Amino acid sequence: MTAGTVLSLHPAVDELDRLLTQAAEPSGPFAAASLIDLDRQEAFPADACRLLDDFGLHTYYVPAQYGGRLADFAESMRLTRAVAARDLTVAIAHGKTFLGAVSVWLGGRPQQAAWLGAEVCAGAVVSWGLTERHHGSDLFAGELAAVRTGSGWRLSGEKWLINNATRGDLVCVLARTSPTGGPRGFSMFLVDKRRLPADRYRHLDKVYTHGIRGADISGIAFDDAEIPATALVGGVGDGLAITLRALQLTRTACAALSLGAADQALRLAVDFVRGRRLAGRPLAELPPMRRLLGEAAATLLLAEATSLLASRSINALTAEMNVTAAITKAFVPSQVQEMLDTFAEIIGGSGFTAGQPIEEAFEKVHRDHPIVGIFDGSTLVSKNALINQFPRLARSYQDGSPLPWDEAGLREAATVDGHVTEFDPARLSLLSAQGCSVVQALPAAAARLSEQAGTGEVPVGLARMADQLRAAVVGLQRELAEYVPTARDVPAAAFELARRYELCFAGAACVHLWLHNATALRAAVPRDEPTAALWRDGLWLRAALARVLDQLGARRERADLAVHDRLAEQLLRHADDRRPFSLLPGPAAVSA
Amino acid sequence: MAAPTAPVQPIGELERRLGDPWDPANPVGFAAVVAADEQARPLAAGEHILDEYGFGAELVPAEYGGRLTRLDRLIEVMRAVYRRDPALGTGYAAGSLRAAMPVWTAGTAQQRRAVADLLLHNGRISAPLHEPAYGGPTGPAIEAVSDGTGLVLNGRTGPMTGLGRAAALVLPVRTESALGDHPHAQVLIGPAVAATGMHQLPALRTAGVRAVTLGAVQFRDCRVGLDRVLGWPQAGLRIPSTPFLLADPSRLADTVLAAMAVAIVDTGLRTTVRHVTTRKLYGKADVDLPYIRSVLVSAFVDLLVCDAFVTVAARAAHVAPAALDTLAPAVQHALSVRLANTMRQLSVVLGAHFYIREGDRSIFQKLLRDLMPASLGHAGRLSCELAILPHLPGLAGWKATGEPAPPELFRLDADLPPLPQPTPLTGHLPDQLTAALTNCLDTGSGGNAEELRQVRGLAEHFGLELAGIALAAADLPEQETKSMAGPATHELATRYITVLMAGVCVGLWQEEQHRPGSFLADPSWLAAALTRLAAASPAQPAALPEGVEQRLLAELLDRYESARALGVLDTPLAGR
Repeated sequence: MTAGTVLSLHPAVDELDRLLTQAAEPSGPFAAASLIDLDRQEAFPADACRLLDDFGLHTYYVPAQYGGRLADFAESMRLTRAVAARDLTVAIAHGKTFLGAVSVWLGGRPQQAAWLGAEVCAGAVVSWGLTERHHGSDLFAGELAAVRTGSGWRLSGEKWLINNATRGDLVCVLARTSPTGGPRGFSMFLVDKRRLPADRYRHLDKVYTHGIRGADISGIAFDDAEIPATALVGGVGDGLAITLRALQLTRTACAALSLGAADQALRLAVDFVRGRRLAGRPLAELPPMRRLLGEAAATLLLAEATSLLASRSINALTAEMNVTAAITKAFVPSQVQEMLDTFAEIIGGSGFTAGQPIEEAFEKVHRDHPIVGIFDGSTLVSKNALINQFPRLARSYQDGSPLPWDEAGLREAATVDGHVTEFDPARLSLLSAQGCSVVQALPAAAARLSEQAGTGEVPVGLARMADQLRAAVVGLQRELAEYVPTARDVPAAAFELARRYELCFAGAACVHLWLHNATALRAAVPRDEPTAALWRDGLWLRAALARVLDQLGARRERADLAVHDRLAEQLLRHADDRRPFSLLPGPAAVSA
Repeated sequence: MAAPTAPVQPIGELERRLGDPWDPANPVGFAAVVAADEQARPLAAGEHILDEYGFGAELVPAEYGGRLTRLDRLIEVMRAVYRRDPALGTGYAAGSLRAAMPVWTAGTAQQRRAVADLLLHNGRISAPLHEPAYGGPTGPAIEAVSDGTGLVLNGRTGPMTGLGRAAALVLPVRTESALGDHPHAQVLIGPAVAATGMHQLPALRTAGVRAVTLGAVQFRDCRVGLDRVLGWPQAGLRIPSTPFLLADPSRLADTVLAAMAVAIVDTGLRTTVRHVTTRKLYGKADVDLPYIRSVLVSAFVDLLVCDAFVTVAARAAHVAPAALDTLAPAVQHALSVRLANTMRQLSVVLGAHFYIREGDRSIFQKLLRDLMPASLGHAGRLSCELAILPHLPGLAGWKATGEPAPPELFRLDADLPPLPQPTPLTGHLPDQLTAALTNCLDTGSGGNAEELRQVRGLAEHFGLELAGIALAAADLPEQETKSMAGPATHELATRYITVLMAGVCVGLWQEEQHRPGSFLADPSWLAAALTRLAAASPAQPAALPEGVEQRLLAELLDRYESARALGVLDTPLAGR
């Protein structure tokens, strides 16, 4: 057995995790009590961000070709998750720079991108100015305008509810460049605040929020601010196209925030049930509580599998990212939010948190997390984006059979330690030409799982579940084929179809991950590793598929539900471990 | 010796005094409420209004000079407060409510008169709000040991509000053998009693109801006389003039506070309607988007269903007080699951506006934080299920004799019996509620034939569901009705609660046939309610037939425009 690439999948992630564990000691910048205190004061977590800078996390927001370390999106998402698992405010405050800069990576001139890359690697904070006070997420209604001048442009207007608008050194601003607006009526500008005269811009007041209270959520107003011609990103009129492509990356990346929140919540829940009692017994012993823990763990693994496949798809299935990103953004935060709400009744029900570290920490993450389902394309906006793809997705199946898909891309996306194709922004598109490989490949994957059940490699129950999923997909595709798109008034039924499509995608992602990794991982991970138990007998796959089938309304087998109890057992057994509960082996798995 | 009677205030007087919540200049409007929450200080103007209104009289039985005669009436009055500010309700009313109930149910005439006097003069009393649902470390543990002539108290109370202003405390204590056969008792301690050995603990912080200062009391060898024990020496049978006072006092308080969740979510839905009728996304007002409409209608149906359940439970306390032992946990469970989910769904519609603590949607995030601590947080779904489990094996044995629940349960404007009726079916009242499901087939002549057909089909579905539960429960071994019961058994309990709710909705609708043309007589709401209850999970908006959804949306928007409550009673409200 070798300690090879499988075990130490992303050394940087392991290193960051170790660093954060250390920093969580009582006087460190990630100490729980101090983070809660900062939240109470609505103060920015500067020390924590500085620690991340010292680690060099900001260099992962810059592509390698522009001087940074961003190459493998799965790696960068795992880094974000590691931070979010400690504190969501910090993860969001620090990670915003990626969102601020990504428009330039996708649409900027090479010199512009290289320049920005150097600035970010030197510590510059970049913000993204998209939304405005009266228009919410309707970018077509944006009023902030850029007018051409002799030497460049003049900006007038406000962007509001912007993360790091005040802290940021630079801000990428979407501005109206044609009075009549429309798809070609907007352009993107990289504004260097440090070069602006002080009387030509001002910061808008901090907006006080329900959660992530210490974050800098504010705004910026430009009063005839002159910016050079070189501030333009891409061409005039490219603004919306750049934004939509950028959102394909950022919406996928948001999943990492949800995973981190789920990590926190699960850890807190385990601590809680071990320490409290009901009806004369430790909570952890009560069967429905175990079931609940197991279901939550299954939800986390389902969300992780979806996110993992989605993150690797950025490199491997780039052309399908408009579908993948919409699904990921709609699905993962919602699943995690439900898990948090379930725990909230148990941990936070009485509302009395004072002096109780578990209740206090949980209460914070419960307030923090909903922002992930709101910003960067809310859950409803993301579902609408998926619904807009229905006609094309409907055509990806004919008479119950899928059309050809990108098998090579899917194989790479699903193999956790596989080769990482260099990311090519030019392959991002606004329409997925071939549909959704993950879902199209599901019938074939279910058949392979059946074969494995036939040879005893996996339990028969697993093959049955995969087949139920396949039937669900075929049924869904049939309904998609009958769905008549409307330009306005999207019917409520379409949202239900979207919900089912997300679930089918997530379930299929699980099956693909299993097929491409089970053999290698089971061979490489030591038996007593917590991760090993998840892969043994397909435990994690069974639990994740049970969550999917349950939400699809499929008939439930008692044996499938009991799998959750085994997961709970694993959770409780390794509770003192403090390692994230994950499909991927953690740092301790690295042999000397 | 009758105490002087406080003048009866019509329902709505308190609402009138609280005024238009949306008026930014109103010192008890939402803007003021949120501002007080931001600073974690009580809404002084609100307390002043409650003082002037003489709220204390609402908690005092009529026979002692107050206005307390009916539980559902008390709920209506308190809802005016909780619709506005749950923290005001928690700080001003909840403590006194929890403290007063045991006094009326168990106290001596002298004790009751003393407490009545306090409350009628705007005094406050306090009791521990509740034990943490899942065995938190702040559970009450006051031991009382006899020293021959009195009790010596040691230990600590659970969280309590208003300690600084309480004129009396009602505290549960563990008496073991100190009082003969009673292992538990309540003691009534006033400031006149020597307070040596009693001191307050530092104030606790909360996430919700931030304006409420919580404290606890620590006793060290504190001596109290035996006359401080509620009901001493006759802690025995009494026949109160108001039958609901035969019920377990904590169940009474639980039911009233659970009903406040409906008020809180009423404001949540109202705020969301306000948002979607003024905002535009992609060029249309949000309220014109079909998906948004389905979420709003689902929320309205959730309120109707939950309100029906808790209102009938409150009325059931009069008819069969012991039934509250099963109904109260059922109500807490149902409302906890459904209304928390309702607020989450509404927050998705509000989007970023739910997350911002400014502007006129900012009341929403406060309500979201207040909901559990103010009304349901202490219940604990698991405890509620455990309370219901012992009831399940008997379901199969109870024959649907066709004897329905007493109609006055469902006739919301009807008076309730003034004297307790000895009824052999007392223990089966919850089951009588489901009898309406089978009786439904004969009801309803008016209304859309298609909807009636739907209603009957759904009622039949629930009838079958009940039979299925009864069958599964009949074979439960005894340990499956106790703390180690498995998840499948717990699921039987939650399914049973849903069947109860279905029965209540049908019963209510049947009774409303006496008022044809009213909203509740129309089968639309019932079809929607039963559809929602029959859904696998409340997490998705209900998939309702077009006509039903339209009828409900029209009713919701009409009530919003004309400022009427969003429950089974469309109580007139102040402002818009």
